[in-house]
Amino acid sequence: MSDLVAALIAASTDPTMLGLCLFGVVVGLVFGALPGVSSTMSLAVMLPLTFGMSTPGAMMLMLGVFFSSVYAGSVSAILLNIPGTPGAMVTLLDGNAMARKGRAGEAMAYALISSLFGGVIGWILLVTIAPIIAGYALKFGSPEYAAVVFFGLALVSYASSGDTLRGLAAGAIGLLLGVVGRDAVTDVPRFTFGTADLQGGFDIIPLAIGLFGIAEALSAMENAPRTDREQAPMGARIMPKLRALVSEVPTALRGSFIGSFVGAIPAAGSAVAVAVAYALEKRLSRTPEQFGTGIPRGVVAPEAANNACVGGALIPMMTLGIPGDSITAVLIGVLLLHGLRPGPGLFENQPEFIATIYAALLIAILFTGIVAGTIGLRVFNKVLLLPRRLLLTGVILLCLLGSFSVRNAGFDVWVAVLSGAAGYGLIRLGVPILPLAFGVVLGPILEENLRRTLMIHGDWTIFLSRPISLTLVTISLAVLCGPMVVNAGTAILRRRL
Amino acid sequence: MSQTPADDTTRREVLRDLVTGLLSLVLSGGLALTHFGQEGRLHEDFGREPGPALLPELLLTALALAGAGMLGRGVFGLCHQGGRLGFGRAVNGLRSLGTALSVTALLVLFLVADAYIGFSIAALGLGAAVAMILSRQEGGSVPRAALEGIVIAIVLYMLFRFVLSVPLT
Repeated sequence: MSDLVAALIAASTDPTMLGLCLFGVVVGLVFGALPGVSSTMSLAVMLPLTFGMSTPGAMMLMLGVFFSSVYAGSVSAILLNIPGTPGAMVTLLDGNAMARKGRAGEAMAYALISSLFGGVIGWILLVTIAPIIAGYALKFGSPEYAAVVFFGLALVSYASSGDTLRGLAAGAIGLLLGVVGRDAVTDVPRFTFGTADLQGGFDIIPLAIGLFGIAEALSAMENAPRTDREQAPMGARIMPKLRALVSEVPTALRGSFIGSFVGAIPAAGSAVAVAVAYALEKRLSRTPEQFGTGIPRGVVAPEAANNACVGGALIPMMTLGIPGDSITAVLIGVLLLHGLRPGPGLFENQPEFIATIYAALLIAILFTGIVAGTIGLRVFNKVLLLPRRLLLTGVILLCLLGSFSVRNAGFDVWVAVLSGAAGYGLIRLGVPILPLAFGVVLGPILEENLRRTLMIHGDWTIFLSRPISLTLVTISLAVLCGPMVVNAGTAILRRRL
Repeated sequence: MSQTPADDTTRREVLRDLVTGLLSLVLSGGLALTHFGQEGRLHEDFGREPGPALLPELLLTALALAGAGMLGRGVFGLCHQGGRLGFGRAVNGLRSLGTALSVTALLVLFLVADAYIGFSIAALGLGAAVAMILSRQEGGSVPRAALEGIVIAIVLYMLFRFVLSVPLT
């Protein structure tokens, strides 16, 4: 607690830190508001700018982009009926309906207030739960670690697209990319094809820039921009009445807890959280038929859940080193770039840095509220008019420049471009790219712990003789094989009938 | 009888399964040839240490199994569809990818040009070309877009070269 207070004081009195966070918030608000620019792409594009920064400074910037871009997805959902980010998919149902009734300003105020509320609840859960999980994870041995990584990959493969086989293939390719280069223990080269550039393996940053920056930009280019998009007017009233706001507190609380919980499950993501939060509110409502017609509750529930996911997604990343979603996969890349490996060791060895992350997220939430609540509502109207050609051209060039800056090596630009093209191809084939990125991040951790386990304990049965690894392996196998068995059974039954 | 959107979706998924399954099998097969064909210490016995070949072999097996599963599912779906895949529809679908594929080709061209004319000139050309392609999609002025692309490239180049001190050529 004292570390957190010290970090909050240090960050809030350091103009550089505050400036970085404010810059990140502004960039996140602009990028997040633009349809077709996801939070992950925003972070991937901003990543190269962190190279010369201190690690706390880099986290201030990136968490500013992260939180504000997640909120800003609601802007285009409400004003244009186009979700800015996947997490805003549900917000448009009631948000845009409110806007069409001339209550756009009010809808945006509800979205902002519930996002901040969700963000703070997610932050409180992060600060209270993460140390407990990390403390528990410190007792993990190699078998538990290997099982946790396997569990994370299995969940990602299952949840990313709903198709486990494609997720499994993507995860295997990602892990294979992670083993390219000289083996850390024996110095034996693997899949280097005799080239010097591959001896050191692939750096996660150019791969992430390619997969989440270039591939997503290429996907956004597929469809011609909508020329019929009409921007809803703000309306006379912006701030809702206090009484109306208070009546939405239980909805915001439920949404926040759902968001934090779902966000903490690897790969479940904000899209799942908002859908669950919205469905629950509809079910609990006495007038479910009003959902979708433009009621504040339909905005509050998904927005609170969406932003609570930020804190939730940071829990597995910080405590176990497993990314909660694609955005935290990029954040892990930032930490690795600065020589830090997230996980329980970080809590033990660098508690002050953990406190800085907490402080950075809280300051990002506050800045998002201040910037979006004051100038944001007026500026968003203009941001949405930014031509797509300028934006996507900028994104592509930033990705190339950023990938070069990692090690000042042309090879990294090749990696970014080729992984971007491959990522785009995979998206077109319906193969999720998230397990691939997870595989690259988690591959070395899995290999290290798997080999250490087998070296110490001798055989594979160790995974079945320790309760935590047994539980994790059982769940992972059920998650991976269950849907395939059910699908095969259903197909056979259908054929017989 | 006319085709329903559900038929199209099923057919597309069957095609995706066939292509992805085949690609996974080819990739795992090719990498397996490289892996098992590698000479040196890769396949040595390291005693209690499982060695550097363990994880790649597990992963190649997983990839091959996933590929075989997808291919099998695709073949099953194809039989269920009466052998019709709707390649014509797939080719029509590819036309919508024109912009993205053009930009991908430009990116590859950029990689080649970078080696000959340097990053700065290649980036200017790429910025102009991408903006032009996107402006055609938007129906805007192409020369103006080219100029905008060049300006964006110059601004970003200056940012990285002089503010972030990246040694760009």
